[in-house]
Amino acid sequence: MTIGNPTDAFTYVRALQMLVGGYGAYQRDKRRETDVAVKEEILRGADRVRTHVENVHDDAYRDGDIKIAKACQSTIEEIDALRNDVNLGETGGEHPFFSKQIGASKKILNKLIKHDHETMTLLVKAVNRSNDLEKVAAEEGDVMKAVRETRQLVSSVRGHFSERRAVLKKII
Amino acid sequence: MATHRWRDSPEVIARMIDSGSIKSWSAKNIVLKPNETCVIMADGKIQDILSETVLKNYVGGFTRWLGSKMGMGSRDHKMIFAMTGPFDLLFKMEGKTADGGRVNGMLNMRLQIQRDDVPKLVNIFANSGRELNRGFFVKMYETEIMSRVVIPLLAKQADINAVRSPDFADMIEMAVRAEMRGSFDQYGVTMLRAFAVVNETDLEKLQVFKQQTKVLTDKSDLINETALAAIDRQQSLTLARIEAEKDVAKAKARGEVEVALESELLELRKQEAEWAVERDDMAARQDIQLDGKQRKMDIAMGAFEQVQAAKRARMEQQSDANLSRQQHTDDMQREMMKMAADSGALTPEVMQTFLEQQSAQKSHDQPITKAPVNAGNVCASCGGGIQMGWNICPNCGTEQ
Repeated sequence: MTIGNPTDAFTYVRALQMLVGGYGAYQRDKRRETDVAVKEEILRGADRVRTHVENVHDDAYRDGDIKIAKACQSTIEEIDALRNDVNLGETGGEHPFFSKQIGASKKILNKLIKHDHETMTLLVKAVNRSNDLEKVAAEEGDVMKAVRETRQLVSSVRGHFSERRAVLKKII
Repeated sequence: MATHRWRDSPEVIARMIDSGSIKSWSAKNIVLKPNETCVIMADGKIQDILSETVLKNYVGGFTRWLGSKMGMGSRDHKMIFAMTGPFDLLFKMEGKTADGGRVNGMLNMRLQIQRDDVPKLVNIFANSGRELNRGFFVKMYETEIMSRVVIPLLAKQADINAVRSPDFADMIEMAVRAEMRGSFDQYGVTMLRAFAVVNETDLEKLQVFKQQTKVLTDKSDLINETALAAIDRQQSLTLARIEAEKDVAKAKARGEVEVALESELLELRKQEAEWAVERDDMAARQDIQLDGKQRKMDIAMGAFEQVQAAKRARMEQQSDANLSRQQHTDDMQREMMKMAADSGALTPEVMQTFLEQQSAQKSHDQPITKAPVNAGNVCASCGGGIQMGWNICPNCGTEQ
């Protein structure tokens, strides 16, 4: 019996399952595993972005382009902050899920699935943008613009992930 | 349930243990916190990476020991524990700037072992002990960081001031990130931050000493100059005070003399005025006295004239009376002598008695020529005698 896999969230679940391997859509016996899977996917995506930005940073430093190196450095710091948020984010208990005071209803789980999908979508954008950043750097394009866009997307992921707790607490 | 603690010091970053090495009667749990990760290796394979969980009855216990003796379970079962939170390492930093100044300091690096990178620590455990602490990581990376990052970067700096600039702080972080990335990745270490803390250099110490010496010298000079200035000021003040006192004394003396002269002049004027007043008074008195004397003299003369006239009149009247009485007496004596003669009684005795009576009559009729002077009435002004009945001295005219 799947409690957190209703029809209205089916599209998002399918999409997430394509992005996150082993995404269980918060089924009763897979709630924590699903939560961990989402977080690990975010961490993995953050690592991917970090690697791309680090590549650009190292090249910029060696080429003496301190301005771009500094911009990459601030982007890396933003990625580290995102990793820290995800690593130390609350995981909740098995039952009731996430909060000892308030159990997660179907509605909340649907909202959480949708929120996870949005977070992952933003993260995919950030990964793609970081990939483009390295490409732009290789082609000597507007690297600074690409770095700043990447940082903006990472910040968006970070901000959106911070809303996750609010969704689970029924604040939003 | 007992819990196995894999870490008993904050210096410990990672540790690899054989699960069979934990011997206890009862099995123990292993609690993994959010910043702790456990990698389970069994039979040479990495089986799992765990975090934020409790491994119940995972190590120790008599039955597990017995099972291992009986050949049950994995022959080789190891666990790698690691802290996945950030930790700081301090590297000694030495080098020379372009101007030859020796730079000493510390390079602070904030590192982190990501959860997925913990298995990479096996590369370290293969070449070292089973416990990795901060000192180990410092020793492992110190030489590489010095040779690849610190010394080349310091050599590019013009002087110690450049080393202390914000640009150098950014540069050293970039350099560490770029140059050490491969070495860090090899062992699963991620660099988060890096910054340098530069100590005081010998050149700076010399400059500080020079500055301190200069300050002391300047201070001494300033004190001496101030003292000299104070002496000059005191001298000027003393001279000015002496001059002022002299002027004051002069002025005072001049003033005293003037005052004395003025006082004397005033005294003289006063005396002169007194004398003038006295003289005027005396003159007025003399005038008054003269006028009074004249008037008195006139009065006296008038009175005298009146007295003399009265005297003359009285004397004339007395003379006339005497003459008439003498005439009468003579007539009467002649008639009496005629009668005596007629009666024949004219004898010498009668004649003598008659003459005596006539002499007595004459002496009685003889007027007093001079008024008797009162012996005790003397004029107080001139000392002359005043007759009885006189109110004004006939000599000086003073009213008595």
